[in-house]
Amino acid sequence: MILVVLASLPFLFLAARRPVLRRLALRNAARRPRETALIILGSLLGTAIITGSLVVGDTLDASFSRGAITRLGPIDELITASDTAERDELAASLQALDTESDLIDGVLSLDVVTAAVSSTGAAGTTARAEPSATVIEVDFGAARSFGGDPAATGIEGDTPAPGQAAVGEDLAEELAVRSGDRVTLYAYGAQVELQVGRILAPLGVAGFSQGFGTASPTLFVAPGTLAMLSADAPPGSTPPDALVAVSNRGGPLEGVGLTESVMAAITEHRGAPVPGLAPAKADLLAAAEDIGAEFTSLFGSIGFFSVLAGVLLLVNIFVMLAQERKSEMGMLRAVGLRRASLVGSFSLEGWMYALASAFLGALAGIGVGRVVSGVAADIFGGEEQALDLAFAVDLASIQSGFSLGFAIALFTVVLTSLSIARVNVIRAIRDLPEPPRDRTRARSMVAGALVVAAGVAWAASGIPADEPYATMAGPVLALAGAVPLASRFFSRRLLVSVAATGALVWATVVFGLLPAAFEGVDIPIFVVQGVILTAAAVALVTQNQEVLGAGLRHLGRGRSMAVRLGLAYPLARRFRTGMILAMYSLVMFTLVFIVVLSNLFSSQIDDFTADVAGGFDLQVSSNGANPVPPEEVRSRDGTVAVAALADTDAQFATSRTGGEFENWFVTGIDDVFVDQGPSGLGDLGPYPDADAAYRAVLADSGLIIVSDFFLQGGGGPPEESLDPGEQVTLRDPVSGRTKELTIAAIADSSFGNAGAFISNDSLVETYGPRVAPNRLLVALEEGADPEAVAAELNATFLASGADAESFRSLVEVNLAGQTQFFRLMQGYLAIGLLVGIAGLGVVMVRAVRERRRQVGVLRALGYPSAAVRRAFLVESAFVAAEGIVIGTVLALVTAWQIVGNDTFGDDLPFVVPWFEVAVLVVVTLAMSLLATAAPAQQASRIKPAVALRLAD
Amino acid sequence: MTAAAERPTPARSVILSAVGVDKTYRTGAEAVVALDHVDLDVAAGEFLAVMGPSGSGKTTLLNCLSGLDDIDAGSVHIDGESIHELSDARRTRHRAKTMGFIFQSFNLIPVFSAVENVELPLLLAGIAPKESRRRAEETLERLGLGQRLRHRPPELSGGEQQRVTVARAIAGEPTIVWADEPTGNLDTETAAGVMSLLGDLHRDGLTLILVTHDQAIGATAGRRIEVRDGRIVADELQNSS
Repeated sequence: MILVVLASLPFLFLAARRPVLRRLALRNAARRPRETALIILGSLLGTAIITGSLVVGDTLDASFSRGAITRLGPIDELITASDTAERDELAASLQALDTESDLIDGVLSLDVVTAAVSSTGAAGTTARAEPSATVIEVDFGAARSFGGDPAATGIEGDTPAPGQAAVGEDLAEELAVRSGDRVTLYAYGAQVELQVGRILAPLGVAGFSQGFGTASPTLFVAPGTLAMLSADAPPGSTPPDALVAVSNRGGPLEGVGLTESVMAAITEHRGAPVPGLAPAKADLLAAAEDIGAEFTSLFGSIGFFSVLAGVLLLVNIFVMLAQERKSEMGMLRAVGLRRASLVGSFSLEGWMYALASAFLGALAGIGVGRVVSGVAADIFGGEEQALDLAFAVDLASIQSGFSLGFAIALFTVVLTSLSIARVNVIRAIRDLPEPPRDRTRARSMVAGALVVAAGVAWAASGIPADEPYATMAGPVLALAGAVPLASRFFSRRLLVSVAATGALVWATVVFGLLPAAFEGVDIPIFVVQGVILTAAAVALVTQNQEVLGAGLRHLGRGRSMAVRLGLAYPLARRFRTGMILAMYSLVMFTLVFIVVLSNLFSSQIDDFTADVAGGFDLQVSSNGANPVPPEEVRSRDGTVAVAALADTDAQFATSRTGGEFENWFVTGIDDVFVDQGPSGLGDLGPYPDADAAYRAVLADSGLIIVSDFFLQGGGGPPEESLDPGEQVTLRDPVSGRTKELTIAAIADSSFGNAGAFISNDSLVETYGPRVAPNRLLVALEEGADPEAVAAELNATFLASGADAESFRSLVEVNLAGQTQFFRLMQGYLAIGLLVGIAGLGVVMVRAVRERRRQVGVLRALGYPSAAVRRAFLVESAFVAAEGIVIGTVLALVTAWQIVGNDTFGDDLPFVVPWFEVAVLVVVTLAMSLLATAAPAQQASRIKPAVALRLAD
Repeated sequence: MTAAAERPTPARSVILSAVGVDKTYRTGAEAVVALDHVDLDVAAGEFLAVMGPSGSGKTTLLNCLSGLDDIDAGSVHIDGESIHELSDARRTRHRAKTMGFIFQSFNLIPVFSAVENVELPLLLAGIAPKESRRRAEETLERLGLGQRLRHRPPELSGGEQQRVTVARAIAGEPTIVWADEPTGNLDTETAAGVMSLLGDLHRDGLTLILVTHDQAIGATAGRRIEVRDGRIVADELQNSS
């Protein structure tokens, strides 16, 4: 904001001290209120897009943070002990720290297990079940006094007595139970019926949840209940987590600032690193911030195309304004207004537009953010994830959006003003065209030489180092500089055509030509590629409009004067046409690209299912406390094979993480998993095929197979992955035990494969008996219906919290989310399309005014009014169609090239969703014509005598 | 008594006949009478100069008689057709077939070349493209612009532009050519050239109605009317070349 004020000072000075310039600027702005409104509308969309991106980030950040704060309440750190004895000792030890230190204000012991709970179902009602409830044993008195604020714990009343339970509000809603109702808890192959004593608010200890999901189905039971249930636990079931929760001094939000000090104090107090100690709340808040920033960056990058379209619109409008006021500017110069003052007058007017559009754009951005967040909430708010996005706006985001939008608009108008104020007084007064330059100016040749040198140096230093931006843009920069440099010797058209073709080819093939430079690239490189491609294509088309238009004009010759006249103006006004083409091309490029990408994945359901399934038909997830017994599923009629996998949280350190441990997950696999022919590997390492690689992992507990998404967050293609032969260290987050592993092979980047695979034996070596097979992969007989079997398994193993789903259904759900997300991005980009269409509308409104006299002459010569209307429609249709074709073709070529290059996965077939592309093209064209309809109608109503009288 | 009562009777057939033409411009509450009950007959092949001071109504007279502007009362017949009773589309077609226009500001279409500007009315009159192009080129060559066929208006001098305008006006062999201050934007020498050209065309049989405030140019016409305050106050035949 300070920058905005500073940038505005010269204009405020001008407005205050130069009344003539102020009057000029104000009156020009007020002269045509409707057009001023259109200019501001066109410009504000850029600011709205920027602000919208930031607001989306705010919403995600705030929603996740709010979830972390309300769900964890006073809990800042969690220590997972290996058993209750160790936990009790730890808790007692930390109570002493609580007394000695002013860093913490509470230590609380909890026993937690995930288990299935059902309502018993009164007569006439249907029993309802929650397969993954968080069952907690805690002393309510201790819990209430945990941390400084009893209300923040959510705990009320006494600790449940045996046979009693306190139910969290979310679980109560899920099971439709109230105080006095009965529920059944299933764990460790046993079950117990409990009476609901009270319902607890879903916050703090009462809403205890370690994930992002805002629903926390908690059930509080009497101490000893879990021990009773697990007394005869079947082998392989996971015992309850024995946790110690620590509350930092201060409220749920403020206390998190002390996390590092508290962790250090605990370590110091214990005299050694404490295994299983995790900064629970700080981790969640950091992850929330990362997700918010990730989305801001994603939408910001995509929105960049629309912002650029807004900038082009602004330039175009100002150049048109200058052309319209050319004789007025000449007169002002003739009567003594200095060039600098002319720049000042234009800039002052532009400053007013920039200020108004940035202000309104920032407000509109809140709306954009609101809509995007709402759609995102629908996408992410499925039952499984239950992500509750609450709209939030940070004032800083509004300020940033306003400042950025203002800066971009102001920079654009000042630069454009500097350029358009270079008028020759006589030519301006007499409204004569600028003569063509006879010779290339030495200045532009020098500038060209410098740009060539910079481009070559950039490329020369960046390409050997595999730097993606230098590789992509360096050679293009050199080509761009060559145009002014060589224009003394060759025609401009030839030079621009050659340079633009070179840039087009380079930006298209560079991914395949130098793949090492683009491994693990992020979205901005695609933005750079898109800008280069569209700029080059627009330059090429603009320079060769005559050739392109010759054929079209021939079509219209004689037969349709409207076509002929409609084509004449865009072909003659190359700058103006080029600007609109660039706007349309940029936005269409991204829209079509995203449509193709979206379809790329969604059309591959069968292939993805086959990849992910690895020879199985469905998977059954269950609670570690009460896992679905593999042998029971195996003995079921129609089952061919059952693989028992153990999924668990893990921490990994690699050379890429600098030896730091990062949270991920690991899967223990068995023989059956490999026998069914698991999904393919991207890098086989030293093995002849995938089967050999997986068998090597089964045989050698020191080997691991990781996905190329291993330890990566965010979206987009995988970043630089690890290589076979590299070492990773696996750590059990609870016990702190570590194990050195060698990467045997790299799995494909299929979403079902994003984990890390070791043998079940290797997993037990590190984790001990705490881990149990909690995911079964089931292969069925030929012809069996996986959906029906999944439903049957869910019903049979309700007590285990079984969640059986066919692989096809899993893939469909995943792809549906992905497709919805692409749709959201398309919607976001459509704002850019509005910029383009509004721009075309503004240009046509101005064109009608500019050509009033010419329309009058045409009408006088016998040109029918309907033909005038058609001519304007043909003109806008031609420009829009050119832009649409450029953007569409470039997007298809780029997508084809990227898919062929396996950037988004191996062997993806390139399929063009013609119907969706056609709809996009037709709708854009129709909207463009609609935007031109009013000015075209206005033009057709021009009375020849009136137009000529005004002109003469 | 109106000027029409004193006008000489045209010797040839009447091609334009205006009776009781009124035209008033309204700007807000203010009304300006531009034409006040004008009667006028023009014979085929006549060269009529419409003269008068600035603001007298001469350009309005031209616009109303040619059908470019609507009238409030009266009637105008051209070639037997009551042009103000025609629909806009038919009036436009009629204009394309029977009239040519020359304006002070040339008013060429800047994105069309000289030959494209000239062939425009021919195409609008429904003449085949090839024939239109041939006649346009021929007309421009006749007016000494054979070397400038492909040049666009901004690339031509003022005199050349006005000659292109003349070529555009006559290429379709119209019944009447209307010229509104055709030399207003030209230097004396170029203006003389253009007037000589128009004189030649008139001698070839063209009906020419020319609006000017220049007495010398007015003197070259065969007949001259004087407009003041929207009325024809003088109408006289002249001895012209």
